[in-house]
Amino acid sequence: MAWQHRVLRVDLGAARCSIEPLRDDWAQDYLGQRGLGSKYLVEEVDPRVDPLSPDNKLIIATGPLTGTSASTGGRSSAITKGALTGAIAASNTGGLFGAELKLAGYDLLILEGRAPAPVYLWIRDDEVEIRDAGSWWGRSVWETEPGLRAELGEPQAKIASIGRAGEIGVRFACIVNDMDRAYGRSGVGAVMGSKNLKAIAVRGSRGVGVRDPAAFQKAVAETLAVMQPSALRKRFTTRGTHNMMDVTHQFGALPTRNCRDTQFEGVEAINADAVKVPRRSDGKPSLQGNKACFACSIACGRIATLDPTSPYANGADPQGGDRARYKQPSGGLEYENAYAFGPMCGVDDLDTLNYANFLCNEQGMDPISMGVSVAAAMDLFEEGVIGVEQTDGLELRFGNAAALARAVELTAFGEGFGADIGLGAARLCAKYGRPELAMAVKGQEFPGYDPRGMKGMALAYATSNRGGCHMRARPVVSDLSGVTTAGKVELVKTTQDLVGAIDSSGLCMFANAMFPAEHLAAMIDAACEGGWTLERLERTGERIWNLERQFNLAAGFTAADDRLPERVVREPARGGAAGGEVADIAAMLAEYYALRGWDANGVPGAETLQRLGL
Amino acid sequence: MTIEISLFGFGDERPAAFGAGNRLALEAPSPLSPQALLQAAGFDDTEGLVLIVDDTVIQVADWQREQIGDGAAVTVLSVFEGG
Repeated sequence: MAWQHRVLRVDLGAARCSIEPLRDDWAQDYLGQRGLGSKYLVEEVDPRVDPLSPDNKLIIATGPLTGTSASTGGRSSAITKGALTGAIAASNTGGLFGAELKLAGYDLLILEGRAPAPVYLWIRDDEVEIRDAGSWWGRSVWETEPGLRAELGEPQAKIASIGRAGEIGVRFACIVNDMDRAYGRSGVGAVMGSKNLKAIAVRGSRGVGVRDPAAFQKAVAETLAVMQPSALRKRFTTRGTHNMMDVTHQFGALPTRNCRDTQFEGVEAINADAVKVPRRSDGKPSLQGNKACFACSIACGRIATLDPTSPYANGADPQGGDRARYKQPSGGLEYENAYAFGPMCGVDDLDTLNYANFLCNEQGMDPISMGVSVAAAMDLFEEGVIGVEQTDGLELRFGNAAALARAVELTAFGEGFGADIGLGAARLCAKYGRPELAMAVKGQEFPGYDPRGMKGMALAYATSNRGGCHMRARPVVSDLSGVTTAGKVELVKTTQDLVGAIDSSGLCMFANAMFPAEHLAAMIDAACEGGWTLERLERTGERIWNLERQFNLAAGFTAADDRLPERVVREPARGGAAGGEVADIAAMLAEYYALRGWDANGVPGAETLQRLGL
Repeated sequence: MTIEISLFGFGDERPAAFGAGNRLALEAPSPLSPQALLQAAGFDDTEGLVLIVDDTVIQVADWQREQIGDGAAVTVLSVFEGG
């Protein structure tokens, strides 16, 4: 129970769909979603494969709690070899799509091969159809979602699709579902585009069973009783993740101007308070309200509008037509997109940040990588490495809001210098001979936590299996509570393992921040066969972490890739509690390898592998 | 003596003693420990709070021991494992 015990496999090259039984033994070892999808990927894909070749696979995986009544039980992951990084990718989304796939009766959807021409997939419980997408290729997510529903005559279909960015191979293209949620990181959208797969539409009616319904209902209710009254849950609801911007700024850990600075003088114009200030033009604030994912009782998602008088919402669109669609509400600013387009690019114009984010929703791009890649380009420009002759006339200086907006437009369509930005920060900076200007680990751009003063985050970035990431460990509260390396190695290791289990459960990471992990174990145990304790979940997470590590090692990554950019290692943070700090992780990294049971080269030892059954 | 306290990451969810700017000039007869200061400022629940005094984080383990005196600039952050 909880698992549907079925895998839908679609060979796009052969136009063949088949339903096969889930490997239940693997589900017992890897739970679901990120872990189980990674196990299938490792078993079926050569780690040395070109991520954009037909031999790579794209796996959409749900967890055992996906589609249940557990709060936040709507998560699913896209697992593949990442187009941005060449490392194993597992990008996690909310919204409604994942739950619908589970309700259609599938734990996993495995997409393999490459269709000879653009197609989309239509799944209605056991009926699966590969359909011509010729008329949808070249169109945006915002056109494709409503358009496919109309074409299918199914207004309740849930859709995940790529925009123009995924079609043309922007390295950080994402897969967008439900208009503004996304399998965001590592370039999973570029992999989908390489398969000539425009979209997946799904409608499910099967329901999700659980092992012990009464125990499950009790566990869910007990979790909600802890979660809902908590001050933390209320703050997530009222202020969203955007709340963190003032915090990191004050602390001195807000990456600014491509990490030249760690505090941003324009923060008050773009923070969680600024989005609530009524505009002069229409008397309405940018922030229109909240949005919740499937079964979520937090609703941290933001819905925003542009100023109706903004140039971004008026006049002619460079791609043709007008800009009226930008007057409609879409996913708004949260911490990461606000950081990446704001401080990281030195831009303090709220409408520009919202517009850049709207473009990412519309054309399917990861806003973190998008913003940080523009910041890298701005750094190259400021350093004189590139000039207007390379940038199509754009004065790509820090703080130039119009240049940021235009750079995002160009990237989405692969036009001019946008094709270079679409390579991602690491490839962009390498192309112009300044690789050290890419604020990235393993090719994936930094999120909004400067690692100089945040010691646990520094180690978490360096060791993340999918490249620079803030969601693979949970050191934020500890890091902000004291500038010290003491205790951080164990904290990072143990939270990486726990996160591995949460990411494999079907629940959202944010929910777990609001209740003790024992509640997670209680819900999974009530839902699933096998006897699930917190200890077993932690061991499962550790197994997943080591499995991912093995994939990356076989793909050619080494300990030399567990490192941070020179800028954060050598140039001290400026200002705040983190002032004067650098991100020296050498000692922590050696201790981390030892704690994980890896050798000095970061390779899991035989005893570790045996203990984990790998 | 006066201790200046500024809040960040709270929005409108602040103790009543703080004004709309999320600032408070706390009058105290003598130096206060961080714990006492937070209580005096109206914080009933200190979970998830970070205290920075003159750009130095005071770790929770030291909240009973450290003393905050006249003219100190205190920053209180509300933090969580965000996204």
